[in-house]
Amino acid sequence: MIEVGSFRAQSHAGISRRAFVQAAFAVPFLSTANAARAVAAAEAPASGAAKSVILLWLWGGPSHVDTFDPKPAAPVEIRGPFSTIATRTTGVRFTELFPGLAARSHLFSLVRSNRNLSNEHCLAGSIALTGAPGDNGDDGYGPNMGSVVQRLHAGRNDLPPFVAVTQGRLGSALGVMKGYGGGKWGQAYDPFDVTCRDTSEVELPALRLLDGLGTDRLNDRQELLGHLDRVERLAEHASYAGWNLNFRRAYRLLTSPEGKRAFDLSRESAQTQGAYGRTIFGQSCLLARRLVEANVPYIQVNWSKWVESIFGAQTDFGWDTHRLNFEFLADHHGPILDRAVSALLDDLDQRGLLKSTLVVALGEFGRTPKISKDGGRDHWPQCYCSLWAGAGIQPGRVVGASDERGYEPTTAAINPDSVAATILRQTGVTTERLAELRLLPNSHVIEDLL
Amino acid sequence: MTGRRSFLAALALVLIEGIAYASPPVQLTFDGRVKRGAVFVPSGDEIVFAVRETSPSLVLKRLKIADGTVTRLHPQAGLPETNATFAADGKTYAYLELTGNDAVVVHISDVKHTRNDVLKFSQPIPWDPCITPDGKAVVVSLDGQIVRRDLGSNAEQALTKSAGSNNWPHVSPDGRAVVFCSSRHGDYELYTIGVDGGAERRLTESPGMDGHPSWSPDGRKIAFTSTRDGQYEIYVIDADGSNPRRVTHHPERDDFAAWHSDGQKLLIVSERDGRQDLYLVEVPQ
Repeated sequence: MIEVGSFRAQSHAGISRRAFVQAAFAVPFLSTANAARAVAAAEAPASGAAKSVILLWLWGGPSHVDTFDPKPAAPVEIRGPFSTIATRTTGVRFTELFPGLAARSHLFSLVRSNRNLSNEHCLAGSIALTGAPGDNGDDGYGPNMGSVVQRLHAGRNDLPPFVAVTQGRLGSALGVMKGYGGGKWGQAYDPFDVTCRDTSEVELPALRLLDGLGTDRLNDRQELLGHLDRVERLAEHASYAGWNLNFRRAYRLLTSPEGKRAFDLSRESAQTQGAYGRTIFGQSCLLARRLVEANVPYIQVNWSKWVESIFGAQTDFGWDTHRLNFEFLADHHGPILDRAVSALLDDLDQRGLLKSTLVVALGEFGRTPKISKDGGRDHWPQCYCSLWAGAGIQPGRVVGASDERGYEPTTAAINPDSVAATILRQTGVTTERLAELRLLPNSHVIEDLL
Repeated sequence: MTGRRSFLAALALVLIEGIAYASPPVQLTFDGRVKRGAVFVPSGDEIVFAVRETSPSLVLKRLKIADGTVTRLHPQAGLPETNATFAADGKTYAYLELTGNDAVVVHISDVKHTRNDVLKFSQPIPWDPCITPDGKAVVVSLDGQIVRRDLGSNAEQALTKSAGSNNWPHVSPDGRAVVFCSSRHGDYELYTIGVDGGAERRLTESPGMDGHPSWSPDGRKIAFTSTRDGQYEIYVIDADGSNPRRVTHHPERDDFAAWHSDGQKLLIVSERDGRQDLYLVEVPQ
């Protein structure tokens, strides 16, 4: 059975897009009361320095000591095995794994005093993405920052306003992350998931219900309409409401030439595709840049679906490196991250998009400064770092500092609510608007970045 | 495709017929996907390597030199696999299987698939296995130390007990020593230690990381990756640490060097235009 429901766009290697795209293009958009209810109407639009946000979500929690806040003078059991290199920012050093970003430090700033409120992945991740703990332990979360942007920005009609480039819904061996999408606002504000392969292939999981339709049947307009009607009747069931919305979003963009173009990485030159690296994360970053060009206001690029670096059949090399921290960083994570983010910053800058695109890279926490008995590093929410670029962020700065061994901030800790408030402020969501929405009370924008 | 075939035909002549060969590097794979841990099988007619795919996320593949065909080493495998390593006689090989949440086992198999022993270690993630030439032991890195496991008694012996991280062991062709990397004195440098433990010797002292060492078939040279010149490049030293030579000169990453049996060429994973593929490069004498 071919994956008819997937929108596949291949690199210059030559796999063509599916016939489904052409078939769907000819079919009018479905409309039902149920769908109309589900589609979130954009409220009064917000405007700010950032027309778009790209959040690079380093799921699993990268070590701050082994990346952008090294401690070369610390004892061997803390500093780790990597040497440090100078950056273009005077006095700022990174580990040797990031020569590309070191050469581009004039394009971004760092926060070195991030702090989270939990040391468990899904809780900390939910807090980091929503800016606040849930109302009831690991439940009752507010909306993801992207969901807020989705609600307040009058986006294009044919592209979802909040796109997650992801291998699936985020989780760990302990369960799924609950604070991933719309939270208390409901599934209507969940991100629109898109899957990107290292081969530059893009798939829309929301269309998988169309799997099973052969190409010949899809070319039959009546056949396709009938199938979509059946899908819609199924979707009217309450449990399918959120899915139905995403299906409609997928369908809508597939009927839009501009929407299709935005997701088609084969339109990029081999040189551009290569600059980002032929990796899932690299091509996902390239897709994010294309979505910025298509005026999608919020894109979250997930490094992995799972936090775990090794997870049996589900292994997708998250940043949770309790073991093999140094082997993975040297062999895999470091070079891939360095190349992809360097290319993204260059590309946005050269296209004149960086000044209107906010790029933020962070995980849910850092990792223990002291190397564990297992030869890796464990969870460390007390202090970690994040990378900020574009859209009003003053580049070449380091905001906040950690102590000489990376255990605690020596300046005021920057909590997730401040991260969220700053991201939202740059998109034009004011403190007053947040108060109206009952979001992020008492949060502070990180003014030193601006 | 024609160009690829002619490349492979030339490569087959080089490797099988022993025709003298000069640079430039010969590209051996063309899919561009993330790769690691490539090795020649001792007979020299095949290469086994790990490549990033979708499901499982790491797959062992074999490249037949004669015709350039690439197939899965274990077509039925449902779990990620990586880091294949062969005993000197080519009859036995080891590889890693990623079995669960922070759980890895070492498989010891014969190439005819009539034997497959699954080794669990005292700690859950053995990494970078290397079989001793006599096939009687496997050396791994285990939680930051170098550990030797006897395949008869299954006894584990920690060869290193040092501060810092000790990784990427590779056993010498005479089976007497292990070269590995350690951060005990700062960043990663190369060291050697006896295969039964004993005195350690530091081989390199350079800025940046020295990693992924590989002993030449005659035991006289060691190839490795270093960032001493700013990013990942391949270097060769004599086995006593002297006479360093840079092998690769490319602005992108070169990594995971492994020797051809003639001791004149290295198999490496090179990134070119963002694509990772296997290349064969000549070692400067």
